[in-house]
Amino acid sequence: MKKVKIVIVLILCAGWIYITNVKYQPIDSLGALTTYKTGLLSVPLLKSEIQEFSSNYKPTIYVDDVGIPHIYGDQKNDVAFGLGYMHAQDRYFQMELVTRTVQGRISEIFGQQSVGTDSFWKPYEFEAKSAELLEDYKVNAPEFYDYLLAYSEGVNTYLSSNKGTDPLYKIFGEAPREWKPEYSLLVTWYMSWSLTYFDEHITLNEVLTKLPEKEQEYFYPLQPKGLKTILPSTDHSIQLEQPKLIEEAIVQKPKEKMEDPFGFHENIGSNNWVVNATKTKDGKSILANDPHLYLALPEAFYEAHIVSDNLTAYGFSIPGVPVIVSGHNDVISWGITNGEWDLVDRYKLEVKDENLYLYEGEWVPFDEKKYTINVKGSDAITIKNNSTAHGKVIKGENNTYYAQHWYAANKSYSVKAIYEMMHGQNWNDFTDALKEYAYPPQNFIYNDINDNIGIVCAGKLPNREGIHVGQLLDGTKGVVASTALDTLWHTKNPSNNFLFSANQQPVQNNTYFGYHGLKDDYRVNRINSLLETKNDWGIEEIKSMQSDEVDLSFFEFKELLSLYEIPEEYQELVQRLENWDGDMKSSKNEALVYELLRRTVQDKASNFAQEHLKVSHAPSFKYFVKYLKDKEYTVAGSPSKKEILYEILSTVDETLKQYHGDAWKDETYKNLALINIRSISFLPGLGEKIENVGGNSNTINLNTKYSRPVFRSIYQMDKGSIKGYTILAGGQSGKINSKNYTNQLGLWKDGKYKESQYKSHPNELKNIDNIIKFN
Amino acid sequence: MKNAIKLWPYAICLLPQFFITDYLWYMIIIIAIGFLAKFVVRPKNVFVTLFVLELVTCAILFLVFNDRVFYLNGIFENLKLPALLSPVAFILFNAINMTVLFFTGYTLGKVVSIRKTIPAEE
Repeated sequence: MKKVKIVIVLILCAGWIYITNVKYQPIDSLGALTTYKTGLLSVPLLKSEIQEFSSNYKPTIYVDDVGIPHIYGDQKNDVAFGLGYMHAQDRYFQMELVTRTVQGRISEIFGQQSVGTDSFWKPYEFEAKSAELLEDYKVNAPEFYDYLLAYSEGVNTYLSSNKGTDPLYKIFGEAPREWKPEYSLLVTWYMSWSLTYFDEHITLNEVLTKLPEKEQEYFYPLQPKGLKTILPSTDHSIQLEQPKLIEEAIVQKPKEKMEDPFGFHENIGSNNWVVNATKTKDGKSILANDPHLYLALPEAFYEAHIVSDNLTAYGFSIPGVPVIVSGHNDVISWGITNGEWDLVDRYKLEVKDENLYLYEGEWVPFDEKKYTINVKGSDAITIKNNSTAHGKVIKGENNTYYAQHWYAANKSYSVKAIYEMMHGQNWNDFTDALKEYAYPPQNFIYNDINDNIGIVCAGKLPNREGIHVGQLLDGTKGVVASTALDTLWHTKNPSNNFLFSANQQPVQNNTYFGYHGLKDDYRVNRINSLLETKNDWGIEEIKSMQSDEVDLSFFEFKELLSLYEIPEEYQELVQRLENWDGDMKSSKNEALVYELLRRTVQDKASNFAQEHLKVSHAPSFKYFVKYLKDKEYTVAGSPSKKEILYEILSTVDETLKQYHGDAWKDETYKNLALINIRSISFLPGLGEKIENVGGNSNTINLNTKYSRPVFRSIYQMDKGSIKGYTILAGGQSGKINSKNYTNQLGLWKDGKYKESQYKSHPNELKNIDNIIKFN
Repeated sequence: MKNAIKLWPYAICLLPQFFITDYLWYMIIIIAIGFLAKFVVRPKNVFVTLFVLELVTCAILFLVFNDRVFYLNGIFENLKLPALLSPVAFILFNAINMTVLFFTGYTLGKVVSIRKTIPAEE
């Protein structure tokens, strides 16, 4: 009996031990997480104190009450070290995730669920490319090489004595890995993936091959008329020759998630603008920037201030990279928006025996390579990657093969270009530095204390031979563009006294940047109209403009409504919008009604494209509404425009009544515009819900499923007085136990800002929480 | 004094959680202490005695370092879970866990001691 009792006890104990040891991959076991030293209780909080360390580099870091480090040192390498230390303190988990992702090593932390991600990244061999690039810098740019080394040492100095200070590492049962200088170069490819990996060539090819020329030009214009380009060159429409096209019978999209990049039109974007002294009430030029990205906690950017004898800058850096990508120094300021250039080519291959492709008259075998992916909690996986002379092989349905060439996967000197730009003292320095910039293409806006304003559309645009408008390319022939165009698109001090970019085309000529006719340009036009009409801009007005939520598409839709007789049952719906100003505020009922209408129009456009144009790519809102307003032209066999409009109204009327009943008139846009910000760890519960935000995909204060303003910044440049106002959609710290994890979200949501402390001497700083000294 | 000696395994058992950073080693050490305890402590109410001691220790630890896991309340709220989960996990669950580990070792000690006594009886 005693033995039986002991056996039962042992079985129960073993059961308990098993349960408390199960790792809910990738999360560590419950036993480990709740025990003091191995678990979350042992992770210390950052305290307000003065810390002193010894190091070869001697910066002093003053961290203010919102977590912004003000890093002072004698030399630029001292401040690079300090920036590395602070990036590691606040964002190391994020830095490790991003760099591991690009290397194809994220499964080593997240396990089986990330094998797809690693399978995408690994074949690009960015790990080896980053090491080669660093070697290149060592030989050809030793100063920048030393700068990267100092930054790396700063990161590792923090890690060496603070391994257990991030709860996320505890949760995943991991320890931070050592940082290497080349990791800073990996981040460029991650940003390039976010901002340039668009591939709509299959659906675009369908538009180009299936639609008659008239319908192409009507619904999908390559050179849209009236487009406000970045550089002053509007309406320089040039008729392109007809491109050589490949017939594609069935539209197929690759199945794998990572192979299915964002569409070109999906509102990944940003705003920046600058007005010179003539257009401001204080006589000081003002620069504004709000890049739009997928919001996550922590955000992609980190605010920092570095001061040394040979490098001073304030603004937003990307954790892992020791440069300020949007900010200012003593003389110049700069801001970024995504170029949104088409940097992907897709080739249609002729393949036989599943491993031979026809190339320049000969059957050539695929270049097959194998890669090993280490997976946490299970055995390593070997993947096979095929490529052709053009790029990565992608297999579609029905044995269709493509090769995809992503130009931004090449090695680029972009980080060094921004490093050089930060040193700039005038427009010439600025443009010279950006000549070297490659990927991801960005529109760098500029102003300086001497009231010069300018913009550079920087990046390496493929020199695609012949006529190329984004169609599928012939894989039996060679690579279309082996070099980049040797052109830097830029302009300075225009006669209208302002410049802006909102991801539109730099110029309109015969250069193919991307198929911008697929996109709406309401945000572009709103920025242009506001900047054009007002001549007394001040900081407060610029702040309001960054939070502007007027959707210009409403006025086109309103015009459409006025053209048709509205049936009695929809009168109430339409009347709601009669006196509305198009302001997509979350508190407005009209905003709710219009957003439903706008989305329904887009759905109808998509159906219309498939059923009547027989293509899968929907025309943009603008061109579909133009069609509905057009009393002269109707696509053969399609329903009348009145019918389509009534269907749109009916759908919205039903939706409103289905969800809200008769109380729909009291409902607001609040719930439809709700933002869910997820944690980069993808752990549930770590994100934030943001209510009472407005805007949509057409407003300056962008609010779409995929992107929102990740930060807002405003810099007023004047001799001896530079004022900055910034806000981040989240907080400075990526540590979930930090007070700075989400502390700026409330201000961000309300369109408020913090005044930045750009001080040449630390004695002038206020609200300092921590001081970190290195002796 | 004799009583004090008989209580030392309980006291020792509380210490590893403050020093051991690897959970596997932590478990092995607690089980080992439990095993040794079989030959030292009075065989009465071992589980309850240790559980009470662990409960007190874990409660003190939680109260002292509560601010370190304060963010969990927000996570539980987002997940629509009660905030009470935090003390339950760090006090009650942790105390049970350590007690079970100790008791596993203690029971294994019992098995060994029974095996030793069997030949003598035979």
